[in-house]
Amino acid sequence: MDTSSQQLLAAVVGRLIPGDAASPGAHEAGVPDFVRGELGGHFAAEQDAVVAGLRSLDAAARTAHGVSFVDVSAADQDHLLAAVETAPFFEMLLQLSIDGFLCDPRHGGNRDGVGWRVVGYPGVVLTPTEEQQQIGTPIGFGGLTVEDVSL
Amino acid sequence: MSGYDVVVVGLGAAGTIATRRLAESGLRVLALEAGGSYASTDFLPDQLLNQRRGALTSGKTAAEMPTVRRDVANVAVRPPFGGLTMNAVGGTKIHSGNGHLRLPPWQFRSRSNLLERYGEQVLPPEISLADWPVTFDDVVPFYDELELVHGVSGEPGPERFVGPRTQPYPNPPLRRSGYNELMTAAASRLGWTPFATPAAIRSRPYGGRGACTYCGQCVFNGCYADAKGVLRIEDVLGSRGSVEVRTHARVTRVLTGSDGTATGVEIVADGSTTTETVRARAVMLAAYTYENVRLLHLSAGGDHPSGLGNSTDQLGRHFSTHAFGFAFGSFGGREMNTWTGSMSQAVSVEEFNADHVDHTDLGFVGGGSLLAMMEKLTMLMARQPPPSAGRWGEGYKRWLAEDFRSMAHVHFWADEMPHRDGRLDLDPTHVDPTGTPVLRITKPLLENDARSFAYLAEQGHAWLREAGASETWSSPYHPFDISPHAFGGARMGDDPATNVTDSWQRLHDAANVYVLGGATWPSSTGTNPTPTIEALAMRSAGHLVEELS
Ligand SMILES: Cc1cc2nc3c(=O)[nH]c(=O)nc-3n(C[C@H](O)[C@H](O)[C@H](O)COP(=O)(O)OP(=O)(O)OC[C@H]3O[C@@H](n4cnc5c(N)ncnc54)[C@H](O)[C@@H]3O)c2cc1C
Ligand code: SF4
Repeated sequence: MDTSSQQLLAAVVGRLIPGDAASPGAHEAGVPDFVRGELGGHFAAEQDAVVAGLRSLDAAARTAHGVSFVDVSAADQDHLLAAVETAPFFEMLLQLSIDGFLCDPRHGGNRDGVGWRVVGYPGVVLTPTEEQQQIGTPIGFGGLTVEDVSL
Repeated sequence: MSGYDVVVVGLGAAGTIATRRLAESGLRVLALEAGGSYASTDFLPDQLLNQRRGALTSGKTAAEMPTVRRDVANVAVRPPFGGLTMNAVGGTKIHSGNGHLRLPPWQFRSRSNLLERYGEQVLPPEISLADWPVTFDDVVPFYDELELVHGVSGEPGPERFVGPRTQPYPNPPLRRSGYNELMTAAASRLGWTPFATPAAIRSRPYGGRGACTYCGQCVFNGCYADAKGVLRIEDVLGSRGSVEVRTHARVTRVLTGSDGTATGVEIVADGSTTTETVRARAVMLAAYTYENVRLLHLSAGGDHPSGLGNSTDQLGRHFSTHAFGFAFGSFGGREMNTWTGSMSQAVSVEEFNADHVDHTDLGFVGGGSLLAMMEKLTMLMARQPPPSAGRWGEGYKRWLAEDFRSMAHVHFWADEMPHRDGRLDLDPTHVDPTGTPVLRITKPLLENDARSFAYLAEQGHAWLREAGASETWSSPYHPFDISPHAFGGARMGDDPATNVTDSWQRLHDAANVYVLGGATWPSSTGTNPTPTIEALAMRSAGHLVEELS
C-alpha cells in the first residue's frame, strides 16, 4: 500500500473508532497498522478494492473541500464517510477496525490492551471466580494475551 | 469375505456415539473421519483466530459450502459467510455451545398436534411439516444413557416443556452468575418457568475428564479444560479391539451391488488423488446434513441413476434450518460481567417453543428456545450496538467505552418450517477443490418463519426490560441456509413413497445404509439438535448390531 493510501486509511480508521479526551481510540490501539497488516495478509484479496475506495473518498474530499480527506475537519470527514457507509470497502474497514481494536494484542491490534481496557473487557481470564461473575464490580484485568497463559 | 461389518462415515457428534455403541458388539468397524483429531491443548482462547478467522472451520466443510437460491427460476450462488461446521474427531460439537435439551414430546407429532388443536387450515399447503416415525418414549432410553456418557450438567426443567425425567442429571447445573440470577428472577415475574440450561459441559470433574472453568472462549473454540462432552478416538474404540479409526480419509461415494444395497465406500486419503475401496456389510453416513445428502446424490449409479435413496424422488426434500437471533438490553451503566463463562451458562425459557403458547391469534406456527447467556464475545458483540449509538464514529465509540459493558443478551432461534418446494441437489456449475459438485440449496422463504422470529425477539425484549434494561434492540431476521442446525433432505417416515429413510434412519431403498444426523428430521423443531441427533444415532447403531448379529 502506498504512503498516501496508508495516510487515508489511518484517517478513516481514526474516525470509525475515534479517540477523545475521555478514552483512547483506534490510533492509540494501533488499529491502522493492524488493518494494513490484514489487508496485506489474511484479507489480501480485498486490498485493491479498499485502496480504490479510499481514493474515491479522497476525490470526494477534494471536490467538496479542495483538499485531501486527510486535511479536512473531523466533522467534514464524518460527513464524507456517512455518504459511503454502505459501500463494501467501508464495511471491510469497519469490520477490520473492530477486530483491530479488540483482538488479542499478539495479532498487532489492541496495543497494550488499550481496546480491552476501554470497553472494560478483562482480557484473558480463564478461571473467573464466582465473585467475578456477579453484576456490579469491575473484575479487574487478567492476562494481556493467550501467549502469557499456560493451558 | 475380507472387509468390515460396518463402515462409519464421519466421526462428529453422531458418528462417535454410534461407533461407541458398535464397539460394544464386537462387530468389525472402520470409522472414517475426513479431518484430524485435536487435544485440549490445541485450543487457544483467541477470538480473532477462532471466531473471526474460523481457525477450526476453514477446512473441507468450508471448501464445499453449498450454494443457495430461493426458487428454481434463479441461479444458486455461494453465500458470503461460512457454515461453522468442522472436520475432526468429535465434529462440530468441539466448538459448539453444547446446550443439551431434549426435544419436547410434542415435537414428535407436531403436524398432528397442530391440526388437532387448530384445524386443517393452520398449515398452508406449502408447509410440508410431518410427524416423526419415532416417539419421545422411543428415544428416552438413549437420552438417559447419553447424559451419563457426557456427564451432562443441569437441573430438571418444567416437565410440560421438556418431558418427564426418571433420572437426575449426573452433574449439577453450571454455576449461576449474577446475570443468570437477574434473568431467572425476571422470567419468574413474567410468569414464565426459567431453569438452568442443561449442558453437555461438565460442571465438575467426571469420568476422568475435566470441569468447566468458565473461561469465556467456549463457542467457536474447543475446550482447553476438556470439560465439553465431546468424544475422542479412545472413547469410541471399546475394549474388544474390533474398531479401527482412520482420520484424514474422506468418503467420496457409497458403493452398491447389483441388488442396490451397499457393498462399501470409496475413499480418498488426504494428499492422495487415488481412490481406495473399503468393503463393508453396512454403511452409516454421519458426515453432517449437507454432506450426507451430497454423498447420497454422488452415489448415483446402476439401479439408482438419480442418487442413492432417491427412487421416489424424495432425496433432498423438506430442508429447513433454525433462524438465529439475539435480543440485547442495556443495563444503564452497570457492569454486567457477562464477558466470561460459556454460552451454555444460561437460563432457559421454553414457554415459546413448540406449541406451548396458544397460537390461535399469532399468525404463525412453531417457536423456539430463549436463553439468557453468559459469554459476551467481545468482537462479535461489539458489532451489535443499539441503533441509537450508530455503527461507527463518536456515538459508537461512546457506546463502546460507556455502555458495551452494560449490554447483556438473550439468544433465541426459531424453527423454520420445511417448504414443499425446497430441495437439496447437486449444483450444476459450482464444484469443490476436488472438482466434485457442491450441494445446491433451493429454499423458498415462508412468512410464517419471519413472524415466528419476530415473536421470539419480542419475548427477548420483554424479558430484558423486565430485568431492568433501559433500552432493548435485536438482530434482524435473516435465514441461515448454511447452518450448524440444518435438517431434512433424507426425511424419515414409514412410507417409502414420501420418505427417504425409515424409523431406524435407514434408507428405504438400501436396507444396509443408515443416515445419522439432522438430515433425517421431518421438522426442524425449536430446540438445540445435538442430543436428539446423538440419541437417534445410538438407537440406529443398536438396531444395526441386531441386524448383523
Ligand atoms: C457455534 C455452534 C454452536 C452450537 N451450539 C450447539 C448447542 O449449544 N447445542 C446443540 O445441541 N448443538 C449446537 N451446535 C450444533 C452441533 O454442533 C451439531 O448439531 C452437531 O455437531 C451435529 O453432529 P453431526 O455428527 O451430524 O455433524 P458433525 O459434528 O459436523 O460431524 C460430521 C463429521 O463428519 C466428517 N465428514 C464430513 N464429510 C466427510 C466425508 N466425506 N468423509 C468422512 N468424514 C466426513 C466431518 O469432518 C465431521 O467431523 C452448535 C454448532 C455450532 C457451529
Ligand atoms: S467455558 Fe467451560 S466448557 Fe467452555 S471452553 Fe471454557 S472451560 Fe471449557
